[in-house]
Amino acid sequence: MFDDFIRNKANEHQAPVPPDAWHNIIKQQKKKRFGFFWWSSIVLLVGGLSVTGYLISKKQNGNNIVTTAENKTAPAKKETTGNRLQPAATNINTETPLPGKQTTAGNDNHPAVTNIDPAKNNTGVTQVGTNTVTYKGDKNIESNKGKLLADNGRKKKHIKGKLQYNNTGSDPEEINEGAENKNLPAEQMDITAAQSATTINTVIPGSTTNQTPVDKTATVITNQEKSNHCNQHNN
Amino acid sequence: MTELALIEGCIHKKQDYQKELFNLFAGKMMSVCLRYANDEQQAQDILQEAFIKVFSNIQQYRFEGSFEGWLRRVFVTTALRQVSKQKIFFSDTDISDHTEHSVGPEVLSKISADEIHALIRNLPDGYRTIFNLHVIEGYSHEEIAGMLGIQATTSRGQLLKARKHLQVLITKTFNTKKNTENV
Repeated sequence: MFDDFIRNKANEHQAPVPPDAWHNIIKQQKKKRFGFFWWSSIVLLVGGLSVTGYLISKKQNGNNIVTTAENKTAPAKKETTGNRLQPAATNINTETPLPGKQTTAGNDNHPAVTNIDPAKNNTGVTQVGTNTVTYKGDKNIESNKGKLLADNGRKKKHIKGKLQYNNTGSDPEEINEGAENKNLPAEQMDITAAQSATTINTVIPGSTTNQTPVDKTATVITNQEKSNHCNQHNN
Repeated sequence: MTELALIEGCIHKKQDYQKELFNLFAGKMMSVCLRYANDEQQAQDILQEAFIKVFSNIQQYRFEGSFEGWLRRVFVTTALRQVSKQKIFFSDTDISDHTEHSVGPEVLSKISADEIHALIRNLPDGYRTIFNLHVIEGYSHEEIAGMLGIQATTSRGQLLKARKHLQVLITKTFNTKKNTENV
């Protein structure tokens, strides 16, 4: 009975409502609607920006790969065009030292060539020659640059691949251009185009899978040998 | 305007109908809010939040049972959510006078709805919540236990104490009134 009495009294009770209650409700309803549109527009904006950013970064990554690949190949090219034979020999010796193979290192007559080791060429050590050829000769280099950067080991393989291609293909002018070395000593300056081509042959086959053994010491003709040859001819 | 037309207008988000509905039920619902809230400001917040809920979910009303009952449930749920943000302390208040205060009909008839409302609001938080939910809204102790995350026995104990406490308060109020009239 007590509970029923209290329930009836409580249910029929009405409390005074604050005068601004209705306005507050309308305001909050509008806020809710506005909030929905606001949040949905923010989500759309952020989504759009992130997609755009992703696309831009993807593009930039492509450009960076090209630039990096160019930067990596550029010094090698410099070396090739500047002083090809001597630095090439130096690079070969520093990158993967194979002391057992460097039996001709002490040959004073052929300082540039004697350090080149066919075994090292297989491992892609002959960066000077290979990079130059790859960079100029192969138009597909850009598509391979990502792979080149991704893995150093693979890079070597790719370079080898490019060498193979160029060896059969292609840019003899580039190779010869490398052979024209103004900084070389007079003795080495006498290397003819044919000789330099021969020299390249010692490099390139070594880097391909054919691995044709080449006698490098026979590839360079010194001034002395040349004069001997002339003398014999005159006789 | 009939209640049905009012509800349909609110379903179609017509502001005039919404305002009409607000005017019709705001007083009663404010009373509900005040019974659960700790202060008037909190009651006003509950009122606004609950009305916004009603307007946005009125299509969920299936036209079964009284609309006021449905409205009350929405308000009670909203109020409980607001109140439970602050932990409800189910106190064990000592009532100095342990004798049974059976309040007779002659006493109750002299107590107005406003006075009952004020006395309920004076109950401690735990007592008040359980008393409101069980006696006024008609929830069972198991339902209350589920809603508040307490044991059903706690709800029962709190209700007994709340009832006693309220009877004492009513008796005191009646006696004071009587004394005033006599003077």
